[in-house]
Amino acid sequence: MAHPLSSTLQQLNRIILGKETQIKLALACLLARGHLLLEDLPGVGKTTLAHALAVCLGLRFQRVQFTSDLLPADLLGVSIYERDSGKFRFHHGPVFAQVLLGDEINRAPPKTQSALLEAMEERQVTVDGATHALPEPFFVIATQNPQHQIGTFPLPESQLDRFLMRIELGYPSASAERAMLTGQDRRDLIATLDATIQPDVLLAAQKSVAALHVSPALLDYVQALASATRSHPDFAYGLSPRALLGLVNAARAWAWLDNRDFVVPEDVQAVFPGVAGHRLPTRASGRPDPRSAAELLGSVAVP
Amino acid sequence: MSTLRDDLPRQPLYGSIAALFLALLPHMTQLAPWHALLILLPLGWRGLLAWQGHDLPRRWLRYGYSLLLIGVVFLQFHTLFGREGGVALLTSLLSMKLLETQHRRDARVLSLLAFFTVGAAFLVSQAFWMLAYTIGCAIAIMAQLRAWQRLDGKLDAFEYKRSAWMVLEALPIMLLLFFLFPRLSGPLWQMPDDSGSASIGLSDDMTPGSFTNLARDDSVAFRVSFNGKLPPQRDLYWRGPVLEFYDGVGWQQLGSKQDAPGDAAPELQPLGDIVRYTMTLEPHNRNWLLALDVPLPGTLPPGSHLSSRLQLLDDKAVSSRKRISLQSVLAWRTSTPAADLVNDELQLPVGGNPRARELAASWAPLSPQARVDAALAYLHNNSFVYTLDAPLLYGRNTIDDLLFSTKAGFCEHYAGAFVFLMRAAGVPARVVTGYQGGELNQDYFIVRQTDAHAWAEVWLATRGWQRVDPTAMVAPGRVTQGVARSAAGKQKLPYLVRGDSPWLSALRLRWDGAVYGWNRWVIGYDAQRQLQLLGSLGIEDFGSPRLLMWLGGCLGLFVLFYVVMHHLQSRRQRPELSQRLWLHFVAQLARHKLTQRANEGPGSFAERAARALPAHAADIQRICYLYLQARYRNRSGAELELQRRVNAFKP
Repeated sequence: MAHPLSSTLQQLNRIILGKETQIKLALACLLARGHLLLEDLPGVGKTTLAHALAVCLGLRFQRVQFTSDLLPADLLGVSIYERDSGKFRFHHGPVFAQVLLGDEINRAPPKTQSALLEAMEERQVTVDGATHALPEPFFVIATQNPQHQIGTFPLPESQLDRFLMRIELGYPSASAERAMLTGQDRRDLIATLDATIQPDVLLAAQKSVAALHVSPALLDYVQALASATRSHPDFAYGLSPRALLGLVNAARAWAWLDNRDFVVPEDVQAVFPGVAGHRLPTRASGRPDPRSAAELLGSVAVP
Repeated sequence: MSTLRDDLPRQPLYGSIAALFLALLPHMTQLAPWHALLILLPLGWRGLLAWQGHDLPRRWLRYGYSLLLIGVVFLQFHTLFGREGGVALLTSLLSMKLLETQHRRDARVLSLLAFFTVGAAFLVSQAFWMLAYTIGCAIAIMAQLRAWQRLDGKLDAFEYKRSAWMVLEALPIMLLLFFLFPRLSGPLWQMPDDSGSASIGLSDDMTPGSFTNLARDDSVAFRVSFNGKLPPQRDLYWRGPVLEFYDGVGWQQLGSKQDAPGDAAPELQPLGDIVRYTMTLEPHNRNWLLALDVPLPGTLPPGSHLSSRLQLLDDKAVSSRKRISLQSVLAWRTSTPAADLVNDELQLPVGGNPRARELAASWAPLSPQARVDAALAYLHNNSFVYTLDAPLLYGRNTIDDLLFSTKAGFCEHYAGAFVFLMRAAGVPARVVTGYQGGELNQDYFIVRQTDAHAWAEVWLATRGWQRVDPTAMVAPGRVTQGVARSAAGKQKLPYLVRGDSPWLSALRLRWDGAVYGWNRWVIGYDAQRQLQLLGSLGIEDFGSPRLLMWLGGCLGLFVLFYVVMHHLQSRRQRPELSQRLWLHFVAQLARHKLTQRANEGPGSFAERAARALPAHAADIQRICYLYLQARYRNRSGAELELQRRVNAFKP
């Protein structure tokens, strides 16, 4: 039995060619109610993927281009005095969408990046003492350029930790690239897309993902991975409990996308580099290195 | 290729260098400091190269340095063999080996050689702190051996912990082999003895001051434990060399007569109870065994004999710690010796000491026993002082000076003067050196160089040779309470012997007790004692089948114990049924060279296996499906089918 999101997957694979794993990971991330960070060089299709995801899922989305002079109010909204009513009225910012597409998020200064913190974790926004709930579902899909590029601010650890996954797209394969070059323009393609599912289907899918069975044997494996990151001499520190929760949820979503109602170690292995990669700063560079997370996976035995 | 690339992982390499350093250290203490540095240099060199990531030194450099080290050993010891030279050569080459160690295999060989070096450390000392040290070394080396087996090239505290456990687990087997494995009564190979090194303790002559010097040395001469009642302190005369020839200054042994073949002990008639005891002699590189005055002929330890001077002599010099069991009597009567033997004991130099001769001549009318008593009374009544601060006496009349003017001396002065007086009075007499007394610690006596003593023996026609201690006349406390409580000028004694700080002395006695126990039960456990122990187990000799039964039985018991322990341990962490079935299934596939990598999930492995064995693909897929259902979905129904399928699965 195919799950309701299989058509979404197919559609996305038509837009972004040769990136099945990354697209599945992105979808798993959203199903696990996590925020997604896409990191790669400019021009490999980050924004296209984010855009297509939002369209295919039939969600209301807003796009914010992060720049170095972007202010928190530009993101959250602002209270403006209205002469007619003689009151301040809150004008909702772009964050009040179901999908917030934060393009090049690491070009904004830390102050603006921090404005996203509450929205991402609590799914609410507090401005001028009033708390505004965000719509349901709510995702942040952010793209960022590699840190060594000019004009970027590194995301603070606390904010990195709030992204469930970080995915690198990488260059497409030669055949995929050829197909892309010969095919239609990607943006035109996105314009032709229809929503494949209704928002309530997505919510139901999220609920069933959260209810997926996780056996004690699997949790043994997850904990073995966690303790390996914590005792590993190459890492400055290990995975947080929040990261472990995210890891289990992401593995559930991956299993769900594989039409299974239980989670196996391979699910954990599939999502681990995406979930742990940006959370494990290496001692050598102080920056997270996704490759060392993948290496770690190779050294921990499946119980 | 003369350069060697260095591909060894760093952590275990540094660990190996450290372990090697520990293993070499005891041997380095035996070498000149510069020689030790020369040998240890390659260790630091190798560490530095690894640190900087350089290649290993070129071949000519390595060979050159090796030749240098060998040359130095040859120059220092004039041989490459023998105990000291051989060990120096071994340590030099071991250290050099590190400079060409570039593979794990080399490193493993190095670790095994290091074990040998650690074993050789017992040539340096057999004390029990050395055992503790070598156990530490063994743990360090074993951790290296473990680390070289690790693929990730790491070395962490866990390896050391695990190695320590391995040593602990080997302990029962070690004890079993120690106690029951047949020991050879002679050494397996002849240990070259180092008799050239200076001897400590008594010597075969006595000059004024020689015992005063000995009293300053608080090292242990021997330890004694008595079987049965302890004799009183005043009867503890440990008999050493007998000095008979007086040249006007010092007393000497008439060695040539004792060494002559056919030299036989006089007949001895015991007059008291027999005292049985065991003594552990510290090495002193002389052949005398310091038996309690006097040992019974016929009960002597093998390889020893009683000389005509009643001195117990061994065939070989005591160059290592020696343990002997003896029987002695504290009162005796000897047969009449040959006339020329007695005449030796009347020898005096021509001239000198006229006043002493005059005094002795005044006793001439008395009986021999009365002359002895008169001399002792003279020493007792004329306020002589027993002191470590005796003034030095020069010239030909030293005995006159002592007896009539300075009146202060130590045991050698009084023993010499007394024997002089006796000979001058016509009573055969001789000086006996040895030790007197000892310090009682728990159940045994410690006799130190401080307890060295000289006394006299006179020959009485009715009783033969009898002991007379003139020092006891001067200072009666010497024989009942020891030097420290009886001699003046005791600040010259070693601090701990003086007894000024009781707690320090108590601590020292406790320590000595531990050392003695170690020497008694471990170092002194030889073939003879082993036979005693085996005898109590009903084994008469090493050929007895009961010995094999005991050895095999105990070994079997240990193995059984380990198996049970292991079983209990694994039972506690026993995997659930589905996992055991899966492991069985994986083991079945291993016959087809299919092994599940540690980090490989069951699904991926099954997929790989199905591709490798298309004939069994359906079975494999089904088993994998059931396993996943049972283990990751916790469906108990799947386990039954899994069991059936796995048992039927015969690829």
